[in-house]
Amino acid sequence: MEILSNISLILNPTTFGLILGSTIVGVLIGALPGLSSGMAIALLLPFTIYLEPSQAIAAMAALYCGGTFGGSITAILINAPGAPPAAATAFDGFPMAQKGQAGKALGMAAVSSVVGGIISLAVLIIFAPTLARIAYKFGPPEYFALAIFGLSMLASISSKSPVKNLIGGLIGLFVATIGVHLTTGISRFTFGVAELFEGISFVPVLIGLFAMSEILVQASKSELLLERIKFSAIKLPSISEFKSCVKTILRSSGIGTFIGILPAEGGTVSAMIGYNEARRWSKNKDNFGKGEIEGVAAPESANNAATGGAMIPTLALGIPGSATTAVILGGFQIHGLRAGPYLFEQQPDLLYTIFYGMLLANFIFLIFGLLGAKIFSRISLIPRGYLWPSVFVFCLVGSYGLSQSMVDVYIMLISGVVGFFLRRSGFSPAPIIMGIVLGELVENSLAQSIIIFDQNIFMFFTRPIVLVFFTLTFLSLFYRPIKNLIMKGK
Amino acid sequence: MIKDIKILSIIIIISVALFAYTFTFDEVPEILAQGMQPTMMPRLIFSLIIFLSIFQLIQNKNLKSDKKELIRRNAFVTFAYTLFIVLIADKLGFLISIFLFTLVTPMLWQRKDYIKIFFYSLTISIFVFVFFTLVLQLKFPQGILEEFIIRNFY
Repeated sequence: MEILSNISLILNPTTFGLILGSTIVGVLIGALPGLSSGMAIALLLPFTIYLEPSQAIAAMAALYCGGTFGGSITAILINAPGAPPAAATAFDGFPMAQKGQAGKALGMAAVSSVVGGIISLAVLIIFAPTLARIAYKFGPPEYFALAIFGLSMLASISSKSPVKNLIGGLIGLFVATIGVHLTTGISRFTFGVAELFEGISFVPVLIGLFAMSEILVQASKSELLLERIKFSAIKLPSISEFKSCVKTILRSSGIGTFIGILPAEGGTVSAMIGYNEARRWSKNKDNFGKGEIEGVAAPESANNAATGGAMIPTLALGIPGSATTAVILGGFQIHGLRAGPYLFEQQPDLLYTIFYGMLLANFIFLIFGLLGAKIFSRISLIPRGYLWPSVFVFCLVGSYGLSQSMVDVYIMLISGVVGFFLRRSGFSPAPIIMGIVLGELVENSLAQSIIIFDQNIFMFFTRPIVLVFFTLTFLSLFYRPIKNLIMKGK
Repeated sequence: MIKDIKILSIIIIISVALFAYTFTFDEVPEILAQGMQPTMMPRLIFSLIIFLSIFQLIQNKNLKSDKKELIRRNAFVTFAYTLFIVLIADKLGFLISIFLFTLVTPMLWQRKDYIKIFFYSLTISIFVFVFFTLVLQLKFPQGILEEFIIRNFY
């Protein structure tokens, strides 16, 4: 009943308008190849300072949902996934569009996204408070072990090299150590620059790694000639088509929610696994890749379910469930909030606003995604020569805006160049962001644990929850090598 | 050449240099450090980075470097121009810098519709002024040129 009585939180015209606007912006951004919801949130983060914290976080969460769906529009219509989680949607969505079934593919994408989103939100509202209650029992050693587990999960996120992801996470941890050490007052890596004494501001690094590096990547590419498949009207899937996909949608929603909950994993992994599982269990296996409607339903329900799933550890534990939620955690910091169990006790309204914001976002993108798909897909054809300079303007204004300091602009530029070269070498920006977000937690909880244990680090192994997290860390780091060894032995 | 040898070597060199730099940090008395000197965390991080980079190099020892797509001249030119704009932004003024950036970059990216480009850069600059300066009250560096314009013509 408490949950229903809180619906008024988003009926306030400003909050409602913000959620509406953010979802539409999210769908637009998601539809633009190269731009992601994480990047959009990073760019808009400095300006959320003008909003109430609950409005700002709900708007970011709505943008996250809209952005995840938006990628499917261009994946289906121009075979260019607007965002990585929509990559699997293109496998069958584009062949469907080529067969003249673009409307049906978009309709199925929208409906399955909404179902996936709503299922994961139900899990969020049930499990996040439960997880938060468990987290009340956590002390610094448990938080340290949890953060280490979160970082170790970087080894398994979608990338060719787990080791590179771990190195990326460590680079992020290093960035978090820059500034005056709070316990001792010693300056670390400030090189005499006064602006660095308080540490490197999170926002310019985010903008640099996500957006500026992408501008340089785009500058290296030649103009792509994308052709949009024409379609007359959006056609919702028929009842029989929907019935044939129900099992797939439910299975993929479960997969997406579960994978979303795992720290560091996100929509891309969920969509790929959802797609593969759909193909494995489908009666029409052979049609996959040739325009099978289940091949659209599976990744779309999975990647959208991952958004709600990823919010669970983010809100309940303060450990990001994906790269985008890592950026949202940055939003918490900017608004002086700390995600975790105490947030649920002190600011329950915030949780409900986020929940309703995401729920509303799902219905908004269903309506706007279907009615506006034509416009959204046309936007993806904006010439790069106009799109990316505009993105840079946001990089410039956004990185300057928060502290009104040119040093932040230089940091954004340096992060962009570093990010560009790292990306060329197969590193992803997401682990670096995760490292920066978790840096403070790792160092502080380790320092506090050392005090609690009177400098005897073996005492870590006397705590059951710590042991569980350390075991999970071991498994996430060594599962693949052990499996490979066993396979070789066979 | 071993795969990723360049980037991993650079990471190792930088990590070693920064590890060495931590020896210049002041030591604090144990009572103040409370069991964790300010150097401990960075040293732990760099040790792990160095270890993982070497591990990756060993793993890659039989793999040849991928032929990477060359960085196109356009990326260098775009970066150089971006850097130039950022460096002059506080002298010339933010809005004029934004106008110049959005005016020239599309041309650097091979767009030749000059009239459209002009109106595009004008629109972006006006949008930034109206939304960020007037609505959000963000104070951008005005720079010499904008100050001159405001003083004499506003």
